[in-house]
Amino acid sequence: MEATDRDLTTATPEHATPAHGAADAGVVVHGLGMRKRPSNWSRLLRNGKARLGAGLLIVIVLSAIAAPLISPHDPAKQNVRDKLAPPAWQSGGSWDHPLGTDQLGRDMLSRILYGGRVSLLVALFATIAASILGIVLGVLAGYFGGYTDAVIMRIVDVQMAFPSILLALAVMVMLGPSFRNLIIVLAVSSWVFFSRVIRADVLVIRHREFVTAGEAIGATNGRLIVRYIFPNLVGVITVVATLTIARVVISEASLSFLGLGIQPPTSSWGLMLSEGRQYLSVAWWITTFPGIVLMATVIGVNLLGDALRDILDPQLSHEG
Amino acid sequence: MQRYIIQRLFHGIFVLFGVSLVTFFLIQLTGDPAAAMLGPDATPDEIQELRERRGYDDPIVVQYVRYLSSIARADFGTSHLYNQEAFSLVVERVPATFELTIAALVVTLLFSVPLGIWSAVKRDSMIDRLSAIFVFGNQAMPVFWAGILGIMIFSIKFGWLPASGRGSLKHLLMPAIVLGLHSAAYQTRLLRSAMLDVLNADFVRTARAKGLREFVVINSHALRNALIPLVTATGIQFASLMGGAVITETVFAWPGVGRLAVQAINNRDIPLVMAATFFFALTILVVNLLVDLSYGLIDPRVRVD
Repeated sequence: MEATDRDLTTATPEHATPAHGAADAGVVVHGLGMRKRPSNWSRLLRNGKARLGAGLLIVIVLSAIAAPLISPHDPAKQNVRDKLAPPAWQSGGSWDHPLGTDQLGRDMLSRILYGGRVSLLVALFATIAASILGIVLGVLAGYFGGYTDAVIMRIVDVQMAFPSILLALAVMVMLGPSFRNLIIVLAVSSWVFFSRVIRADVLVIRHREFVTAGEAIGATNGRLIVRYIFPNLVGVITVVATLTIARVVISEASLSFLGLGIQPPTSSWGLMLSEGRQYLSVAWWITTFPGIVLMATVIGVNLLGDALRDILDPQLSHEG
Repeated sequence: MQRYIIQRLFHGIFVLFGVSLVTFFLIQLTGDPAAAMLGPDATPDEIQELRERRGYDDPIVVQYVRYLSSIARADFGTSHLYNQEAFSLVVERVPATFELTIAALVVTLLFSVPLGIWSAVKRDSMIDRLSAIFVFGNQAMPVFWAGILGIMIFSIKFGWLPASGRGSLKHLLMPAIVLGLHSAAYQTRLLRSAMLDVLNADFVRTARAKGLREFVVINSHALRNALIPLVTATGIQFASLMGGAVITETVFAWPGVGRLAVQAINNRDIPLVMAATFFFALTILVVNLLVDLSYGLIDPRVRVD
């Protein structure tokens, strides 16, 4: 059977150029007399996984952004008379609190909307910080090799020898829980994923002809890295960043769940799950709804990440 | 081979050295390690006494060397939470964590091996699709939420399984399944893609061409070649479970090393945190070494040197 594990078998005539399915999917091939491949954008728009993932994310992100406009209540407002009210469709529930209320009578829907802002912002900042750290160290290790590489990779090894959640917990205790520290901790426990993948890519790209050519015409190291190598990393960075966001959303929730992430009265999905834990037997909705939204977010990000990986960097597909 | 083992041991020692640097640095970050070691109830006199006894006023390099030598003797100090030698506390909890880890591994393999093979062999079939959905859903599910849902359904709603604690097989069942299924998603995906690679290889075509039964082709020709990534992943999983069952152990109040570490962290019990951290790092290093060495056994083509 001639099956490849890539999704290009549904080739339209446009797809059937010699460049298709090559490992170089992210590399521009102009001037070689080939017909132009459809742009990555249009391939992304035609990808079912990408559309589903992006759709989910757009809904979640927009509702988090619009939280002040669409929340039915103040997320922090306590109302003891209404505490532990079930969702609207259960007996005893009312449409005033569509998803019910928590142990302090706070509106679940509003808290989920506002909690999303915190969870998503933490994930975004932590991923950006992790990617900067990981890219710089990964490029340095791959480009310069030798001692630089050895030192950086040993740091990676040390980091990998800690269970990441434990390291994060320990650092949080030392630094004290706060929004900023949470981002630092999450970034520190995620940069290795960037640096490992990027180092491996740089090792290959470093010895391509166009880099050698650049060297031959006297380009400096800085120029070679920024102008020659970096543009070829954009695909893999996008993919790893997307998948890291998903991982970070879960890590933040886990840390908040263990009491060392976001601190009350601010709320995140993970903290809501944690708070609802004591009320499992009387109020299933406190843990169920934030959990569902959290899961939908991660599924959305992962779907999009998978689609991006198929399109931008088919080689990564095999690493699961 | 011997040379490789020695090389890897050196590498391991180097990494442990790095771990010690990080933990030392972390202790320094907390401010006064004497205060941290004695806990919140200590009087200033007690703290000063310990500072002098432990030499916390010495130059930092001297302190670090002393710290290293105490680690080498597995002397992390006394846990103020339990008022016991920290490392022995960790060692006491190892059996519980080990039990959970093995049980979770069994669940993972029982689930992922058949599913991974099947979804590769019957690619794009119903099974393949269902397994893809399982993998996706599972990856998105934080393990603590899976645990909470399990408790909600099986303990609170149906009352079939105990929600927490250790003792009987019933206690083990839910944590093991939650933890096992969690990593089963990754293993399934990995085995599927390894099998897909192998199934297209020439030797599999040859095996088919000479008329072997499909069962033999898949199990003795294809699967054996797809095992390497699975062994790596299982080794990594074992190591990370030994250390990373932190959350599962907390959710189910499982009395293992992970839960002990969380308790220690929440109570700022520095000696205990250090002892647990070193135990984890050591476990991960040893397991990774064993995994690397096992390649040669599974696939004679792999020469470790």
